[in-house]
Amino acid sequence: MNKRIIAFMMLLVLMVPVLAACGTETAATTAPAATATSAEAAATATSAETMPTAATEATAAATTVATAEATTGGGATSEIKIGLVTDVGKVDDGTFNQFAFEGLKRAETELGVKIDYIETIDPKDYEKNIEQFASQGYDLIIGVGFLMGDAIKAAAAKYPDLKFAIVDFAYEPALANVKGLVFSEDESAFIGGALAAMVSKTGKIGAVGGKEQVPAVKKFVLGYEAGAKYVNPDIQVMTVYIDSFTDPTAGGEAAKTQITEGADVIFGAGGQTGSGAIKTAADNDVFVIGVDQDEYNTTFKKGPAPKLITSAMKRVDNAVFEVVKEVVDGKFEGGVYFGNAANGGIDYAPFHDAESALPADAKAKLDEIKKGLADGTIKTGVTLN
Amino acid sequence: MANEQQAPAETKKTTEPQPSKRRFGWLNEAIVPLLAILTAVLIGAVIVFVSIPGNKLPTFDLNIYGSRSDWFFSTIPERLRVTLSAFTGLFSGAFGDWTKPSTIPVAISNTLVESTPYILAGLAVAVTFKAGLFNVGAEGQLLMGALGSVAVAAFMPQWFGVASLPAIIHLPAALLAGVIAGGLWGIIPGYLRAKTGAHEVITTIMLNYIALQVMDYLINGVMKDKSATLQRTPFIHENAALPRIISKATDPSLTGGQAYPRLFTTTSSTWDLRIHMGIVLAFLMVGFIWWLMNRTPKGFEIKTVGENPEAARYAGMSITGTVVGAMGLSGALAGLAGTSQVIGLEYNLKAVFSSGLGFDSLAIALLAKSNPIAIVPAALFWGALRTGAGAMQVNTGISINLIQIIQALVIMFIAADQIVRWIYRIKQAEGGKITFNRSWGK
Repeated sequence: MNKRIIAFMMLLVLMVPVLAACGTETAATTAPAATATSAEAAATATSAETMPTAATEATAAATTVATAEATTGGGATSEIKIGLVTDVGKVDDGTFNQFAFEGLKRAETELGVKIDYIETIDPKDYEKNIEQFASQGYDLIIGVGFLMGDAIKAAAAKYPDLKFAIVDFAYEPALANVKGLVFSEDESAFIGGALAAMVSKTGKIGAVGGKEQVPAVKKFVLGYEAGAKYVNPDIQVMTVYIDSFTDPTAGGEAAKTQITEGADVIFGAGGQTGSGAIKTAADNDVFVIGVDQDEYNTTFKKGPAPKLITSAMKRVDNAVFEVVKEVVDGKFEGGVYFGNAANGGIDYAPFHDAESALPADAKAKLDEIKKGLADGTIKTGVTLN
Repeated sequence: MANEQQAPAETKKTTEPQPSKRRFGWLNEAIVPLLAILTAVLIGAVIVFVSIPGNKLPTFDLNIYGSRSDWFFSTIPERLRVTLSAFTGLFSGAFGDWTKPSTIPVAISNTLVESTPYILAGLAVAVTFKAGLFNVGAEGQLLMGALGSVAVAAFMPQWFGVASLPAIIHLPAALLAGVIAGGLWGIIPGYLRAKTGAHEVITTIMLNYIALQVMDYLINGVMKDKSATLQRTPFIHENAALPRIISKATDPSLTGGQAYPRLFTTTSSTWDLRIHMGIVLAFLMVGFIWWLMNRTPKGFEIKTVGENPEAARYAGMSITGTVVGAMGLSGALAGLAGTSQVIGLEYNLKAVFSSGLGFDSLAIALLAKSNPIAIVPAALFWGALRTGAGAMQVNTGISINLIQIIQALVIMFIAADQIVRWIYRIKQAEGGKITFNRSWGK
C-alpha cells in the first residue's frame, strides 16, 4: 500500500526538475539581455516589441513587460516577421504546402525576413493557428489553401492592421489587407495536355482529379483536355474525379482502369490522390504528368523517372515570394495576385529522365504554346459555370 | 466513488486493515494513467532532443568539430534548451505565457473549447465501455448530431415560413435535434447487437462511413449555401446559437448577417474568447452520467450487463433494453458533441467537419478508465496538447507530429499497463478493470 504512495511521491519528485526548468526558461525570456546569443530569446523580445502597436488594448501589466523587453531587446526593430499556416499536411509533403514554404525560405535568405510556420493537423484548427501568429503581431500571415478562406477573412477583419495572403483563393469584393494568390491552372494544364497529345500513340489519354468541387482541380482537368484537343482534336480524354486529396490507392486504381481502357498518358491533379495515380501509372509503364510543382523532385524523389514527361506547375513559391517582397518594400495592397503564363506564375516542368522518349521538337512546341498563352493568341476556353 | 466500484474486491481482504487505501482510492485508479502520461512525455522529450531541426543548431562543419560525435556533444546544451522550449511552448500555447498575463485567458479558453467535444464524446464511449460494448461509432454519431442540429438551426424558420423563431424555442429545438439524430445513429447498432448479434464494432464502423457520405451528400446538395465558395451549410440563425461566454461584438457581415449571442460583451482583446456554453453542457453531462451510473438502478443495470450478462439475465434484467439504451445514450452524447461544435463554435457545418474527434474519444475513455469524472482531466490533457502544438512549432520548429506520437504512446501505455507497472514497480490493482474486451469473444 505504501508502495503506491511512494510511487506517487516519486512521480512528484520526477516532475520537479521539469517544473524548475520551466521557471528558468521563463526567466530567460523576461531578460533577453542575459541570453543575447540565443535566437529564441531574441525572437520573443521582437514579438513583444510589436505588441504595443498590435494590441493597444492589452492589459497594463502586459504592456509594461513588453516595453521593458523592448528597451533591453534593442537593435532588431526593423525585422519583418512572416507566419505561414499550412493546410492539413506538412511543409515537406510535396504539395502546395511545401511549395509555399520554399518561396518563404527564399524570402528568408534573400530578403532577410524572419519566418515561422504552423502545420495544421485538422481543418478546425485553421482559425486557432492563424490567431497564434496574429496575436503576436506578425507582419504578414499566409494561409495555404482554398479551405482557409473563411478563417483568413475573419482574422483579417479582427486584425485590420496586419497583412494576410491566401493561396488559391480570392475574395469578391477584395479585402483591404488580404492578397489572394490565385493561378490560371487551366493554362498550366493546357501545356501539359498538349504534350500528352504529342506523345500518345493510342489517341486516348486520362486524367485523375481530386475533389471536383474544388475549382482549381476542375480547371486543371479541363485545361488538360483543352490542351490535348488543341494538338489533336480527335483525342479521347478520360477523366475521373475522386472525392479525396489523401487517397493514393484510389488514385492508383483509377489510373489502372484508364490504362486498361487504352489510355497511355495519365495526368494526376489531386494532391496525394493524384500523386498515387501517376506513381501507379508510371509503374504500369505509361507516361505521366504531375501537377502543382515539379513532381520529379517530390513524388519521384529526384528520379530515375523515365515515365514522368512533365508537370503542370503553379509557381506558388514565386507568388509567396512576391507578396513577401511587397511587404518588405512597403508596397503591399489588398487584392489579387493572378499567376499566369504572362507573368511566370505558371509553367511546365523540365522533362528530366523522359527527354529521350519525347519528340525532338517537343520543347520548342511547348514554348510556342506558352508564348501564345502569354500573349493571348491561344485561349484555353476553360470557364467554370 | 472509485471505492464503491472496488467494493467486491475489498471484501475479500477485510481481515487486513487498510486505512490508507480508502483515503487514496482515487490514486490507485489514477496512478497508471498519470505514469503513462509522464512516460510518454519523457519519451517525447527524448525524441525532440534527438530530432531537432538542423536550422536551430550550429551547422556540422568537419573543420570545426572533427567528427559527427564531437558535433553532437557540442550541441547538447543547445539541444536541451530547444527541448525545454518545446515543452514550455506547448504549455504557453495551452495555458498562456505566464510572463504575459494578457495571453492567459485566450489560451485557456482555446484549450477548453478544444476539450468540450472531447469530454462529451469521451463520455459517450465510456458509457458503452461500462456496458461491455465497444462503440467505435462516436465519429458517425457526432456527424449525425452536427447534421441534425444544423438542419434545425439553419432551416427551421423556413419550414414554418417565418423569418426567425424565438431563442426559447429555436435553441432547445436545435440541441434536441442533434441529440436525437446522434441517439438514433447509436440505437441502430445497439438494436442490431441485441436482436441479431451483429457485432457493434463492425456495424458502428460501417455506420461511420454512411454518416460521412450522407453528410457529404447533403452539404454538397440541398443544404449547401449557394453563395459560398466553400462546401458548407448557410450560417445558423442567431436564435439557435449557444451563446459565447465573453467576447467582442462581431461584425455580422462575416457571419452571414447573423449577430450571434454572448453572455458578456467586451471591448478588450484579452477577453475576446471563443469559449461557449458547450463547456457548461459538457460539465452537466459529466455530472448526469456519474449520477446515472452510480446512483440509479439503470446505471447498475448497465454495469451489471457489462460485467456479467448471464448474471444480469438471471437477475431479470433486460439485456436487449440495456444494450439498446446504452448505445442510444452514447449516440446522444456523441451527437451533443457534434451539436455544440456547430451551434456553439463554428455556426455552420463544413464538408471538412469530420476531424477524428470520435476516434480520439476512444483514447480519452481509455485514459479515463471509463470513469465519468476522470473524463474531464483526460479530455483537458488531450485538448491542451492540441492547443499547445502550434506554439510549440513556432518556438522550436519541431513537427506537430510530436503531439500525435505522445498521444499514441499514452494510449499504448494505458492499453499495455503491465509495461507501466513493470517500469514503476506497481502492484496489480484489484478490480477497476475495463470490461469492454469481453465483448470481443462473443
